[in-house]
Formats: sequence, C-alpha cells, structure tokens
Amino acid sequence: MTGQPQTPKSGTMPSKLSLQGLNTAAYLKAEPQLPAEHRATFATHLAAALNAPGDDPADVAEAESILRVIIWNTEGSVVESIAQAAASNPHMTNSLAWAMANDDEAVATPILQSSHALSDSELTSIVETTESFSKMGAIAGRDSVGADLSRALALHGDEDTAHRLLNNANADIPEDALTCILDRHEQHQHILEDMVGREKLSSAIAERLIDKVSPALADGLRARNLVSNQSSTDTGLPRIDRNIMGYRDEKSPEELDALVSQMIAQNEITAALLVQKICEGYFEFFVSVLAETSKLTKDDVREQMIQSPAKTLPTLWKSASLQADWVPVASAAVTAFIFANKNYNKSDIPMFRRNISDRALSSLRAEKRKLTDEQTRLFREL
Amino acid sequence: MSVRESLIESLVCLVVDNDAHQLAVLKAGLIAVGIKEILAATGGSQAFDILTAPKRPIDLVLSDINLPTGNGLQLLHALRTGRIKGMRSNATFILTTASPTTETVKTAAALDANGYVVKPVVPEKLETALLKARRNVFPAVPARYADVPEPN
Repeated sequence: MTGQPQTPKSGTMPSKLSLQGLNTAAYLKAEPQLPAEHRATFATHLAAALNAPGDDPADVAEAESILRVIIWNTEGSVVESIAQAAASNPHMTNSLAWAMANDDEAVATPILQSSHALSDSELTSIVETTESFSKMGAIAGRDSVGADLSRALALHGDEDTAHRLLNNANADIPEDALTCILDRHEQHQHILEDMVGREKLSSAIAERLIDKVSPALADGLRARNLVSNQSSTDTGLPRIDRNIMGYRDEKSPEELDALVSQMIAQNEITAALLVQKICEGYFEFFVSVLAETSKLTKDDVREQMIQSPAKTLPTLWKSASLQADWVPVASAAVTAFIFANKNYNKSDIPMFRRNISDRALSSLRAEKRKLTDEQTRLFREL
Repeated sequence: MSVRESLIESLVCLVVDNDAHQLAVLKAGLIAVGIKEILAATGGSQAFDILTAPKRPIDLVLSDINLPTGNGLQLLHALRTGRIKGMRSNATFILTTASPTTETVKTAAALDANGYVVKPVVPEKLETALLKARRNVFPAVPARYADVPEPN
C-alpha cells in the first residue's frame, strides 16, 4: 500500500490497523464522504494502534495529524471513543493526550485518569487552570500522583477530589497538602476518616484529627503511636484552630477568661510572661489579659493589635501596670506574630514559633534597642 | 435565546484573511452563528497591531494560515509565547486553511491551536469549531511553547 494514500473505506476494519501510507490531505479530502460510523471506527482504531513499536515515524506523524484534525473538528461520541482507545494505548503520544486532556470532561476523563503520556507538571498546570472538579477527580485517582500534583489537587479540588486523593494509596501527599485539605474540608467527617486511613501520617496532622474524629478512630491513631494516650490539652501541645489567630491551650473562651481572671487576681501576669505567650503564638491569651485590665472588649484589643501595636500598646500596657521598658519588645513580638500568622503554616509549631521570636529580635536589633538581661534571657530561652 | 447563543453573541472576534472574498465569507459565517462584533485584518502584521492595542478585549481570533505579511501560525506563536501583551496567551485561536498539510497541523497542535478548519468554511462547520474551541481552554504556560520553532 506504500505510495497509495490510505483512507478508511466502508466495511469492517481490520483488527490491527496499519498506519502505512496514511495521508492527512487525502483523509481530509475523503472525510466529507465518509459515513459518521466509519469515521468513528477508523479514528478509534487509529488511536488504539498509534505509535506501536516498529511503526515508521513518518506514518505515525500522519496518523497523529489525522487524529488531531478529527479531535479539533468533531463533537461528542467520536472523540470520546478516541479518548477511550487512546487512554489504554501505552504508546499514545504526548501531543494527542494533551489535546484530549484539555477537551470536554467526557473526552478528558479517561486520559487524565489512565494515560501515561502526560507528565505530573502538565497535569498540575491542568489542575491550576480547569474549573472542572470532574477532571481533578480523575487526576486524583491516577495510579501515581506526585507531591506537587497532590498539593495542586489539595488546593484547587473539591471535597470529592480530596476524597479520591486520600483514598489513592499511590498518591504521595506531603504534610502541607494534608494540612490544606484539613483547612478546606475538615467539616466533612468522611474526609477526616479518609485521612485517618492514610498509611503515612505525621504527629501534627494526627493531633489535629484526634479531637474531630470518632472515639474509635481516635483510639486507632493512638494505637499507631501518632499521638499520646492523653488528650491534646494534656500533652502540652497547643490546639490549632483555624478560626483563631495563633494557638490556644484551653478548650473554650470561657476557660481562657477564667484562667486570665485568676492569674490577674494572683498577680501572676508579668510583662515577660505576656511577651513569652505572644512569641509562642498564644495571641488570644495576650488579648484576654489586656482586655481584662483595660476594660475594653477582646474584639477592640484584637483590632488595635492588628492595626497598629506600636501606637496602641503603650496605653494598654500601662492599664495592665506592666513595666514600660517591655513595650518596644512586646510591640515587636506582636508585629512578628501577625506577620507569621498571615504567612506561615501554623501546623509546624516549632517553626511558627521560631519565626515569631526571630523576627521580633531582628526588628529590635534593627531599631538598635538595648535589651535588658531579663529580655535577652527570655529570647534565648525561646 | 439559548445560553449557547448568548455566549456566542457576546464574543468579539478578529478575522484575518488576505482574500477579500474569503474574508467576506468568514465574516458572513460568524454573523450567521450570531457573532455581532467582528474586526478584520488582511495580513499578519496588521492583525498583530490590532491584537497589541485592542480597543476592546478580543475573545477569539480566526486566522488563515497563509497570509502576506506574517502568517497565521506566526501570529499564534506570538500569542502563545506571550509576545502579544494586550491578550491572554491562552486566548482562543482558530486557524483556517485551504491546503492542509501534516506540517501545519503539527505546528498548530504544538502551539495548542483551539481549532483547525479546512476551507470551504460553511456556517455549520464554523459553529461546531467555534463552540468546541471556546470550551477547550489550554493552560497559559508560555514556557511550554519556548521549544516550538517560530513558523516560517
């Protein structure tokens, strides 16, 4: 058949289609006369056979070109059947897989789920561009999902995408992606259960899960030695609650208020303690003390701290009868905390805290502030 | 009016063809499918100038491959590699041609053309290509096209 342009003819297709002699121009000339079902059969066979070992590259290029034109200009079921055939062709070319991956959902889904012709970075760019959760779900179910792709799916996907990703044993889901899923979907119990079912789980993630899942699953986490056998409050680890800035130690705002009132009554509140608390991320403790001593609401104190700690802290500090030489230190610590809260992941507790104290100290040095021995000691301990 | 019609109706389209008759046929085809705002250019460099400083954002480019000053593939290459500042690099771009070749299909595919329509262009063919092209949005990654040689 060499030298004789091959175009599909009516009748049955051979089980193994030869690409030899295919010609794009000849195909396009013949196309208007082809019945739709013959065109579909031809295209499907072509997609299944394309690029087999031993095929002449020139023939592959012609076949690929014909398929590309069909994909561009054909609606519906024909392209869907091409995609089904292409998805199971281990030799499918990257160019055609890419074209179909960016096509309608029905065309893209089998390719996104099964084709090995697409790289993780290409799939990541699709996840970042598409508005289709169905496409994201297909990618989440692939037989291999790398860490960067998991991050993109965690960030852009919906609840179903997260469910499929978490249930994919071949997905490499780094801790920051798991944190992102928790931040976005922790209201869905089945997502929490999916996460508990992951083989690799860090202690930080387990600590976040333990209070939110059923007692049986919580026991399972403890049995895996991911968390201590005590409740999280008793471990000394702070609670991570995305609805508050920083961390909290107490179970409820009422418990925090009671603790603060008791400490004020017993003269246990010192400037050093407040700076230590803010550097540890306990912003709500800091706010509660200053609200109680200044008789302002917590919302007002919180707002003033966020807007301009340097401007408002001296007055609040005075109302709490705290030493004035700690004001610049406290102001630097609050500014550093607000920055860290906005820009860093709270789930990495040591890193989050280190960031606050390092930033506060840097800004005090930049202002050429001379620290007292007590202040220097505090930062050293932090 | 269907959603489909209203979506097409609101598109601003640039048609590029150096053949006055073909240009008229394409414009008539676009009007027939419901597009109201159509700009026209007869060469690649004129199209480039329009795209670089558009009075209104252009949603769709329908360009012949063979043009006198800069061809349709060069225009697509400039768009995808981010050299047309007034446009999104992944804007919808459909190529038309009277003489399809494997080489031009290959280059158009490498540049993620959203359509490749073989002339004669009848309204039905144009509408199918248009609807499909608008649905298939490729990620805007200019670096992806860095290795595609500038077409001749």
